[in-house]
Amino acid sequence: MGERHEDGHTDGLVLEVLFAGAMRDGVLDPEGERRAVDAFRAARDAGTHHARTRRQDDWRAG
Amino acid sequence: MQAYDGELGAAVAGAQRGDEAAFADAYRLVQPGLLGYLRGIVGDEAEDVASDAWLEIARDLGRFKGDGAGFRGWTATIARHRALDHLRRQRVRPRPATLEQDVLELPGPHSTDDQALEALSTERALALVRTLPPDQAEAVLLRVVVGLDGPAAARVLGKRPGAVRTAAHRGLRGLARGLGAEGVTNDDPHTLGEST
Repeated sequence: MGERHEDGHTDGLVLEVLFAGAMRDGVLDPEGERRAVDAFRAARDAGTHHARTRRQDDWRAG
Repeated sequence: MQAYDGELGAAVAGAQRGDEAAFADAYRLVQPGLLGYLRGIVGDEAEDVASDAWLEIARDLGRFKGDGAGFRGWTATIARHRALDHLRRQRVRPRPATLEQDVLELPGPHSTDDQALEALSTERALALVRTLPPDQAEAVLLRVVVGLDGPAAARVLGKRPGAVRTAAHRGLRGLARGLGAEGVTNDDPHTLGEST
């Protein structure tokens, strides 16, 4: 029973790794990155990055 | 995720100081997991929804406070809201259920455990996720694909950590059954690296 439990544990981790890899697979679209960086630049230059932190934006630990 | 999260934390800090290259680094570190998560809940429209999410992330970047792991949680929350908006709009304009047909055309589980665990394409992983109840699918996607810990996943979903933990375990068991993998169906609370 002990060995079977260990196999299940290992298989569970393998499943997670394979699943994560399969779902994250794919080449990133350079156009998508360009659009995001353009939006970042626009927001930065417009001074939008000085906005206050709302509760939903605060992800500090503890 | 620890090494990546340190790198991600530094990229976010740089981006918040106005460094464009740092923002691009943050994008590359976050986008694979974010896209994988969105594929699981909106399928083919994932890239469009991710694009909407990044506009909001880029705009509200200055508001964010936290480290790399926190940034993954914050961006996942934004992406989730965009996905739910997308799904709500879709209900107004009904679309053909093509995914069910794709699932029916997939080959059955392989005969051996090794083969079942080795041959896991994106298409198959996606089809399996879509067979799960939505709460289980989201819990698994946030924990395993985005890489959030239990409390962060619970915060993104607006649920109790215990409920999310249960949903994730059930979801993983459902995926394992779908793959036909033996020995993975044990109810092992350590599988997700839980410390609590």
